[in-house]
Amino acid sequence: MPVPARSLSTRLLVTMMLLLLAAFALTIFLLDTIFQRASENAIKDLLEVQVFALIGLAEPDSQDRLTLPTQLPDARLSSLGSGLYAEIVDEQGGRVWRSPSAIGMGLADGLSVGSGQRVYQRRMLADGTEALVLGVGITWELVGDASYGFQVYVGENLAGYNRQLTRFRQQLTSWFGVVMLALLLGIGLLLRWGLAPLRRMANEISSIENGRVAELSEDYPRELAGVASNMNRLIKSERQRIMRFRTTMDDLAHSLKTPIAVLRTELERHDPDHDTLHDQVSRMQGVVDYRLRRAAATGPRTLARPPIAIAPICREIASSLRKIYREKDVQCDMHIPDGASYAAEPGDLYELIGNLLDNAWKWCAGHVELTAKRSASNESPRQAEFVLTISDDGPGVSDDQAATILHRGERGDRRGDVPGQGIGLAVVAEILELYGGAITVARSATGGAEFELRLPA
Amino acid sequence: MRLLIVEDDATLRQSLAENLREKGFTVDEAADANQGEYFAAEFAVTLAIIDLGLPDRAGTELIEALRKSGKAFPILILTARDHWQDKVKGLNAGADDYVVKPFNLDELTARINALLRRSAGHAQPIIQQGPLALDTRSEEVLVEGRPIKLTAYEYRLLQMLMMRAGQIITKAELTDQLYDQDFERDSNVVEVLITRLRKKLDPERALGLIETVRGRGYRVPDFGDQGGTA
Repeated sequence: MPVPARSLSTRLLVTMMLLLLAAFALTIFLLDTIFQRASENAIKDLLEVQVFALIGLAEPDSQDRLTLPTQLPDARLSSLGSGLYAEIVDEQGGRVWRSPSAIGMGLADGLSVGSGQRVYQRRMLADGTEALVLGVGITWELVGDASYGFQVYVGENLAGYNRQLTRFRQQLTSWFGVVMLALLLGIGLLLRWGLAPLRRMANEISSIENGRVAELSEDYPRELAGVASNMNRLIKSERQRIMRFRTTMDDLAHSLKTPIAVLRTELERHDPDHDTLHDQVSRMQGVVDYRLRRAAATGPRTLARPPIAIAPICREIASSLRKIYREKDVQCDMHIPDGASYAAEPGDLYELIGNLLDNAWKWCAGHVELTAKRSASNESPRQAEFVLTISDDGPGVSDDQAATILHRGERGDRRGDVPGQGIGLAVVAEILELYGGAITVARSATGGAEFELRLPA
Repeated sequence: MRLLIVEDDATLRQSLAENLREKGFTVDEAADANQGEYFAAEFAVTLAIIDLGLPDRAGTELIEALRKSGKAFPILILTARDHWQDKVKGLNAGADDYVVKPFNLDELTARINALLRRSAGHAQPIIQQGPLALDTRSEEVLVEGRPIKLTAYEYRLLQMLMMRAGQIITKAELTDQLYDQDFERDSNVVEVLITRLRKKLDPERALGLIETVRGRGYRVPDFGDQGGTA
């Protein structure tokens, strides 16, 4: 469509205008046809009345010739240029009579109509005006067997009719024009009002871009409320993500600067101490491992979050762990309900399950158990939760250890010298924080460690 | 012991190869997946180290291709991205273990030794054949409990013979596994190496640790199931 796609209002207005034009054009055409037909019929009726009146007045004279009284039924027939004309012609085409008004008009010239027939015809008269002419053929029966044929013609000038038609058309189009303008104005106002929330949203978004506003307001009409709240979630998570990356970068820079400084000074010495260099490089590696792996957590996706099936991920990770700990004969029992799934980034699910299962595999004596289920939240029973429990029969975790393990992942922990161990759990804690979940450590039935993850469903 | 390294970073690849050569391995270096696949097809590779982020193809694709073509040697993944999703993908594609960059060379060697040992069917890190014990973790060799000091080449040679104890290994195979393709194939070198090894392990030649099978090759006799092979 060659309609400019610039604005919704323009599109709607242009479409409406085209539709209205088509509808009005059809209406005008129909009204015009009806009007024309009605006016023409009125003229035809009039002509017929005149013809029969003339026939009624006609009398044969003593020589069996047709005569008409000088006093005619319609005064217009008697006055010149009145617009109503009459003429009577015999069978041979010779003029028998004509009304004074028809003088010099050539009303019946060249016309002929059979006996008992009637013919309507539009024709130009000698004075250049148009007329509708009715011709009727009649047979005059006289006393005895003699009979004469005549043709009676009556014409009505169409100038008046044409004037009327033109005026009618003018009125029709101007009224419809007015109606159409009013409708378009109404539609325009309607669009303005109806699309106002969209315009407001656009304005708010540009305000957000300029940093003047933090988020979209909440009072949008029902059709847009979903878009607005999704947009807000997107904006919020984007902001959080940026914050998170900034924090990670800050922390990373912070924790790397010290070992770099040590390395520099050490290298400037004549005889750098190899052990110091080694220690500092290890420290840097620890920092990079810890910070970057934590930053790898993607976090919940803002918009569509397709649920990811849990069982295949658990099976894949278990088969990988069997490869990694080939020497260890581990029995892994999984209790996952059919079709159990959770809406998260697949990478995050892999991290959560992978790190915890890896721990369990590492510490267990030979038995690991994984249970996934959906249950009501402890805090608000109406909120459903996805609960993942991973336990082993290893030495278990003491209360002190538990506190250390689980707090390492918390925000605000800016220690640079993080040991390589326990990064996995820090990653788990980071991901849980992003999803609004929680982790607890307890002693398993077999005396080992039992980690329980609770994620809002 | 012929290792194949498929790694696109030239500095890392070369230093890794140098270090592994110092440890007595023969190393083929490939800079991308296609070259790696070619080397694997052309040479008797004992173990491959494959980086997951290769320029022409994903490392996992190379691993899948190698496994599909029937290559059974152990594969160790190198990855810079320490994500479970990547590790699982690599291991499921057919790799046997993974090492995350930046890695410690000792850790890498330990993983390589463990993989070599496992692929030879030894579950325990110490391979014992009669009086001879070989610790694949520390790369130490003990004869009747006495530690013996060996060079890297001597150690690899003994490792190969001990991992396949009871089997004859041809001189050609030993040469192939111990030296690069551009090395002059002088079979004398293996003979010299064997002689030196015998002298170090068993100066009196009383234990019969390395047998010469005339015209065929060498063999460490299978002393039976004495702990090591489970």
